[in-house]
Amino acid sequence: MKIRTPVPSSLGDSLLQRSARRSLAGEIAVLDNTKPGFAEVANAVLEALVGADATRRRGLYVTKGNPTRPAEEPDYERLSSGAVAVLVGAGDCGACTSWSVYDAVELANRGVWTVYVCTEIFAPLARSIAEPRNRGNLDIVVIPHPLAASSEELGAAALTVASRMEMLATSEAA
Amino acid sequence: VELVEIADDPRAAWLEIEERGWGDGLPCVPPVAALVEDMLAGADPDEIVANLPPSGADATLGLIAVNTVMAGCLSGVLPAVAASVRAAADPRFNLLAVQTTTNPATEVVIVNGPARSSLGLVSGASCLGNGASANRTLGRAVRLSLMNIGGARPGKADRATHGFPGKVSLCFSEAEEASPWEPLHARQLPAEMSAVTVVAGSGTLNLMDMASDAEELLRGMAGALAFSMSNDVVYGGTPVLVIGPDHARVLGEAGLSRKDVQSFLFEHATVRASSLSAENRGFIAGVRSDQYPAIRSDTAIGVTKRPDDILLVVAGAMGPHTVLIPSYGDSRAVTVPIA
Repeated sequence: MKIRTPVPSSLGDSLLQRSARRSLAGEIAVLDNTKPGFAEVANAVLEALVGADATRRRGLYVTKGNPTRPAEEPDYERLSSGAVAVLVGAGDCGACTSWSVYDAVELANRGVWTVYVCTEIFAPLARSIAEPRNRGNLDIVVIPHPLAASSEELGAAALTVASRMEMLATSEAA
Repeated sequence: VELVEIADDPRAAWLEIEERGWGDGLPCVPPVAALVEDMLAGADPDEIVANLPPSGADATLGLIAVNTVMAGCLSGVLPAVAASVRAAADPRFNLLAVQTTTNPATEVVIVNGPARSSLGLVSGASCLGNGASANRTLGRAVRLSLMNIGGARPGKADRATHGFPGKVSLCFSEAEEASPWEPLHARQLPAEMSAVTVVAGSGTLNLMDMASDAEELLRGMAGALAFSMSNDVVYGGTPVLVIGPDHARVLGEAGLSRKDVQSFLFEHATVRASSLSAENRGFIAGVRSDQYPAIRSDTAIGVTKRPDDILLVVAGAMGPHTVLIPSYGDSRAVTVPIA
């Protein structure tokens, strides 16, 4: 028999948005969604990156009021106008991943290099949120799950993020 | 809406629909063209009802009609399903979070007004359980629409750690005639209108109390509403009390208004901060800082931000029971008319 499909046939043309130039020479900002452990990771990443090169500086550190809602518009503007890179995190549950990827897409759309951090379990969800918003090229750094781990594990996660950002900064944006 | 060829055998057809990822685990009605046309009843299939996350796809009446047929709904239900989808897409409902959270959250659909009888909905015995086919299929149609059009498949974008059986379908109508108060939708719309209210629920818990004293009954309800690992405590949510007619009568005969009940529960449904984990206390300090600027171990944390966020709905059959539907927390109830 022939049936009607219950799903959309197409979401229309997926026009991949151009990414900003990757660079760490300047202010590196953070959008923190308050998930336990991310502040430790983000601060360790900043310390590692800024300590490695005199051209790098700590930029704005914005903490969202609620991880399961989007950041405020003025925060997107402040973060994207002064920084060369914004670190956004962290996704380690469903709704917090969805809304923090949404934040990362909003920042990337404003022309700032945006790096998104999530745990391995939630990376597929993060990609599924970014892709229909024409940001399949969002730089996503995956760390072990769960995020709220021991200080040693958080330190290791920070090293992963920092080294990945160093590597990305020397490669061409997608 | 595209056409695809599937097996003619009913069981094989269902299994093929499941394999394609369009089902919810239970047998469904194959949405053949004639049934979909009948469901549309002349409505424009290209009319956009809402844009749904996480897929970002437009939910057209045509796609909703296909999902409504699959759910087993009879004709005439489409406006109620479409209204529910529209309500769930309202930003206040926070559908992106509800669709993708690890919480078992789902949309609870509550129907008020004349549509209750015209759609054959049940507000009495087993209104949340088996047998109430109009309730079950309407709720299922809404979930299938949000899953298939919104792209929230279990284990994929839908990250629910466990889910719960109500995530297949959770819909009922209010027993307005047994209520001592105005119907639920009258908080926003004329009482004579038909309307749906969607609220993000995370399970059901039966509350049994044979109390004949209204204050004792309310103290019992308050004790059940607030528990230490509750999303309502964490966020300040929108829990629903589905109050059985016997309990409603006790409250009504005591002369308590809806507002009186909500105020009492708001004041008494609290947990001590000392009973919460350090992580949950820290989370509350962030998301509820307006309400609790300084949390000490003896701070009493309530389940909502405002008294009227405790939703009171009368439904069920006689018996000393009320059902608590704890909420997802970071979502507000949305009421819209059934067009």
